Amino acid sequence: MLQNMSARTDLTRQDMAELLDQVIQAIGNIILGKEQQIKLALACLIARGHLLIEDLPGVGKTTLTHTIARALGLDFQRIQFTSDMLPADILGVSIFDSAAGRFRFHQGPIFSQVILADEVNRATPKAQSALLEAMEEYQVTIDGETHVLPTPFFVIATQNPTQQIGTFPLPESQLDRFMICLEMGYPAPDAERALLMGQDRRAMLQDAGNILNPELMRVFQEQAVATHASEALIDYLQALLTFSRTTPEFRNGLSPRAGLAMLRCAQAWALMAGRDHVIPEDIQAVLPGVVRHRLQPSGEGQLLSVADRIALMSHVPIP
Amino acid sequence: MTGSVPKPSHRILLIALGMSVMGHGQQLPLAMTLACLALVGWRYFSIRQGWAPPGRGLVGIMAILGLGAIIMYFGTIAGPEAGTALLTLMLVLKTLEIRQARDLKVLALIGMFLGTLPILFQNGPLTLAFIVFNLWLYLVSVLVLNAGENDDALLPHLIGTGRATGAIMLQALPVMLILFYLFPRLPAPVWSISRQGQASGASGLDDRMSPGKISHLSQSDALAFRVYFDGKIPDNRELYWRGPVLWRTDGQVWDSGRSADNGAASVRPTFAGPAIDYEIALEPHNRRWLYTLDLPGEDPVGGRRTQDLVAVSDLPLSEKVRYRMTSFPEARITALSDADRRRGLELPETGSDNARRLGEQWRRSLGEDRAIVARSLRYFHDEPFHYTLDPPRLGTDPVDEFLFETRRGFCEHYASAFVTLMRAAGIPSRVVTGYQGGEINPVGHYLNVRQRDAHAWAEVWLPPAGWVRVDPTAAVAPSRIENGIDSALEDEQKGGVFAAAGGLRRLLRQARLTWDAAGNTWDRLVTNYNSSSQIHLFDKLGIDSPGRLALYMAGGIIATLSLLVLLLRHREHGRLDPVQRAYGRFCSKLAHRGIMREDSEGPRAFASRIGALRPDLRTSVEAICADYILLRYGQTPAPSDLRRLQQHIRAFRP
Repeated sequence: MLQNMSARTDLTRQDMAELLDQVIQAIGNIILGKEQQIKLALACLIARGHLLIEDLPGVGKTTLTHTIARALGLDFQRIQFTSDMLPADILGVSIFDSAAGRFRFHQGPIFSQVILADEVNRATPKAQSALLEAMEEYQVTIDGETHVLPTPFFVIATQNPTQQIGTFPLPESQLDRFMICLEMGYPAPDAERALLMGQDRRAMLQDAGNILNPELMRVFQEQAVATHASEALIDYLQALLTFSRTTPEFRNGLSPRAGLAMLRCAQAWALMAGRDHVIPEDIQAVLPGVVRHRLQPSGEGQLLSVADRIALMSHVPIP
Repeated sequence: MTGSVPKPSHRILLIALGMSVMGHGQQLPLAMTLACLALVGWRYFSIRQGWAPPGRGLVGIMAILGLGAIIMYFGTIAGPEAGTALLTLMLVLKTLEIRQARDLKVLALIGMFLGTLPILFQNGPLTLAFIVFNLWLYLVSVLVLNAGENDDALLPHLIGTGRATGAIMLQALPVMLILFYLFPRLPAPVWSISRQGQASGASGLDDRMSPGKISHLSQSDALAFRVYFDGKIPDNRELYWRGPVLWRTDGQVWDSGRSADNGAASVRPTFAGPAIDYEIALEPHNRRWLYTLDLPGEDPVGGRRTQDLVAVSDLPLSEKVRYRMTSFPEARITALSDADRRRGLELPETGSDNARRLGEQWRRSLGEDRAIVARSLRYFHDEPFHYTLDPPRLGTDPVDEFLFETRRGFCEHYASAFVTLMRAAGIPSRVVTGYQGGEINPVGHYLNVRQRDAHAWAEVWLPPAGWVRVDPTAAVAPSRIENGIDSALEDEQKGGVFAAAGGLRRLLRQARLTWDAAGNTWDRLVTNYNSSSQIHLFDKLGIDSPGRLALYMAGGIIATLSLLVLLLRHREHGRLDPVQRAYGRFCSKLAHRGIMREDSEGPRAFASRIGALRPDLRTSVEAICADYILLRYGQTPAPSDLRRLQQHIRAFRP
């Protein structure tokens, strides 16, 4: 129904906000009671970031990813990470084609617009880094040959809580490459009841249509970056960064990359609200997702839970 | 090595240093001034050419030679003159070993000190202007250095950086004025030693008079003292400023002849008749007498009057002094001791034979004292005597030569010849030196008495009146006494270039008077500002004790600091943009109603919270919030948005 609109780039911000709202609604029909997470995930993708979902199995991580890919009209590939996985299993491999008399590159599952890297912490660091490099470079180099990944390119990685046996937790430096980290959490009782009583989610997913397409997604991405961030807003952002760096409860402060991630996400959030400028509430909305995987407690803050740390951050005064 | 020294700064510094050297031209030996200027000039030129400075050995030899020259010339390296010379020499030599930018700063710093030193030797608005300009040049060189300027053209630096330098100096001016006027002063200036040195060069009357001495003085335009009359300024012919009284002569030189010249007056005259009140600001002359109008009616503060009623100070006058005095022009000294009578009749053993004969002849033919005085004055008037600044040189018997041969003389010739005649005729008489007349400055309404007004007259003992002033010069050149020395000497000046241009002369005179009035103001405000004037000022300000002064100074410092804090805060407040100020007002209005904004609460969140708490405010709060967000976070807020926000907030009544 929106195919005719997709070609138009003269969409107003209000139109874009309505379109994105439809996406959120559509995803929300399948993932019940998780609007905040859906919006954050969407904001992350509009801000050209990669998403990390961290939670126990069975809370809907995979379904969410799948739904997002479907709603956005993007290719989708799922890579199940295992401990015996090799980089070639992700990136692809060159195989000698005896007929042609030369090596031919067989694309791995990473050559897709949306990648679900499921249980990324079960893979060995070697396999993990293959994925993370691709995330960073938007290209894959095998046997000296560079293969550009499709656009848009999103990685949505899921991770079991690291306490589980037989996992390789991602090092902080690699966690930083995920723009946003989400926690799904158990559904609310009402939502769970609806889930239990409703249709099979897989079937619903099959029925759901595309709302957006890659081209529209690109327009959104461009528009998001163009969202105005006033000096007053940058002041607030810097106050947050400074706070994270000077507070003894945190082992390390937020990196400049984290600050930029926060700004880009806030811009996307503002776009979803139909505004052409970012307000502090946008920052506050994306703040938990941006800082969750980045702020590690110091010895002093050992007793603070993730939620406590996020609360500390969100109480920084707005200048 | 020289490449690391920025050229423009270096060259401006050399100009400044050259100016400092010139400022000391009066104290330094001429050869040294010229040598220093030549060195500075050569260095300036060599920088342009990119020549390297001479080696250390040569500089060292020059330093040793210069030091030797200073010791030979001054006999010492201590004291203001020799010290200044040494500093000048060393600084000039230092320019030969500037090898890095740091050296320039050192040189500029010491140069600024050297630049201020002329104030030790000369004091006045012109000196100050010279020094300020000199300091400005030094500061420009430092600023140009700090700015890292390397452009070769000097003029843009002098104009561009010069303006900033001027601004810096102007900013320092209030501090300077406050320190000058309010910083507690010592009763004696710190540099009083050097001021004595200055006064030693000053001209003035001596306690000895010989022919040609006063006429020599009469060519000096230097100020002797200024007089501020309480009432009307008396006529010129009444203005006899009493100085040393001379009794004894050897035929040529007159001196006081009193061993106890300092003895206090034993015989008080009767002071009657009109009194004249005035104040005198006396230039330092390193002697002790304080000039007063005939005759001083009271002892001056810090001094007393001698038997001859000459006011003297207790200490030699190496500083400018101001004193008040009341004089009685009609008063006479009416007592004469035997010793004084003897002294008043004493003539040298030999010489002045013709004069003696003339005096004795008058005594024989006229008999009466007053008639003899009148006869002698008529003699000066009728015979072809001539009043001139340029009298012919007299030989070993000056009185006779003058009276009967040359008949051209100045006041001291007339006074000494007259007193010789009187003594020969048996009338006790004495020579009084001092000043006569003065120049009224209508601009400042005061009288300037200059060295050229120096004068000598006679006093003769004519009982019962007592000592009566007789001025033989008045008999020769009445205009000298009536109208001042300028008119008396006009004949001599006739034929000069300026004679034809009378208008120009008047103009020059007017300019000179105005300039003099400016100098007078300067003296009053700056030079004469000493500890007592400061106490006077403090009195006016209501500071009457050191404790209160300390209190006021502390108060002043606190007030200044708080003013500064306020000013800075005001600035900060000004920087806080009007949007934030308006929003702050909005928040405080709500706070009065118990709705506090959290520090971390965004405007939209706050607005929705208020909406939930007070549904009645929702619309107005949402309007304000929307405007605030637009203004603070929006892309292109218009000024009208701000006005609307301010209006809404002003009208907002929670």
